[in-house]
Amino acid sequence: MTCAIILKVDVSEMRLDRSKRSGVTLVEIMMAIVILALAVLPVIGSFSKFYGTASRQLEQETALKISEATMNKLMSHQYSELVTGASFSLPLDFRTPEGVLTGSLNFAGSTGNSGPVKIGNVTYNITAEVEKVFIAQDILTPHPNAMELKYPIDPPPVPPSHDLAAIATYSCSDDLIMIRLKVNYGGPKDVELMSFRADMSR
Amino acid sequence: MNKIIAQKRGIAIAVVLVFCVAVLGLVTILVMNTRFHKGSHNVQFEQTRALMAAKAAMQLAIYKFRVLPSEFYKLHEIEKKLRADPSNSLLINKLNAFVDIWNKDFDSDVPGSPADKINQRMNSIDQIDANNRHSFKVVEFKLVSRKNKGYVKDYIQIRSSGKYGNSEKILEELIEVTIVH
Repeated sequence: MTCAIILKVDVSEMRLDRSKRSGVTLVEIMMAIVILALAVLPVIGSFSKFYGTASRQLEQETALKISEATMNKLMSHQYSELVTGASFSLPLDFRTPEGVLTGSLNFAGSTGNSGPVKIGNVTYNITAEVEKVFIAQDILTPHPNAMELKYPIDPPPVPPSHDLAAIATYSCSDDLIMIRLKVNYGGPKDVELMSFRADMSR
Repeated sequence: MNKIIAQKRGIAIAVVLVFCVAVLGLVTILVMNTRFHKGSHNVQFEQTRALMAAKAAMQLAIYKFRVLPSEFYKLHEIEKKLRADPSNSLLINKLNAFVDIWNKDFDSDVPGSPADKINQRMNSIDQIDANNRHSFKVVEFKLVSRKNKGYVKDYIQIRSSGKYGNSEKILEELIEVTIVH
């Protein structure tokens, strides 16, 4: 009889203990869910941010490749057309890792525009500007905006000149240009390149 | 039995903490990866601008040679004399002075030179900040004569350097010329 009573007490204690245990586990799960949420939500946010950054970088790199290829085309295009501001169309056909760009840079005056050109989902807009940085020298009415090139000459053999070389100046009779290229891809900053081009037709 | 149950308490938190650490590690790797790629784009951008500067120097150098070819050949004449008399210090100094005068037009760091004016225009691009600026010069401008170098033809060898930010690009061109030996 005594033994039975003791056993009864033990079972009720065990029930009590099990119920206590279940409560603690629920709290643990809730805490775990809260901690998980705290950890995972920013991670999901970061993932989308990183994905956005990665795609923007890809677009920037493609814009850079396009601007470099277009600049190369302009550096080898007929100089007289660029310097006189003639209307002409420069065909653009570039293969980029993102796809093929097919379009043309249409010049009117000193500026050219490709209009919107699509590669995949991204729209690129190429603009070019030609500006004269040196103006051809006019012998009758000289001006200071011509390119002046210096070259060595033998010093006049008049004592007491001990110069190893004297300097003469040649004032150039060509208009010389700068080419400014801008590629807009919808990003925060356009890709801009600039270079100098001289008349090589001599 | 109670002891065993008591020991199991807190396992969930430990597992979650391990999971969080793993997720944080993943995020760190992602951040590092993104930064690395961002850096590589900047390097590409700087290198392209440096290349444009080197091209500008090359254009200027070729143009000068085209408008003043006979003036450049004077250098060749001095070199020829120097080959006959290699220890002539006056000729050596004269050659150095000639090369210095000839190359100054291509150096964007020489105030008032054509290169300086071109460089100022290149640095006027809207996005250029004070730390990242173009600069360029011609590193080498010489006549490579077939008579002395074993070439079949004669060439003008031009090597130009363009800089932007921390990047530098070197361009080299050989222009075929005909000279009287």
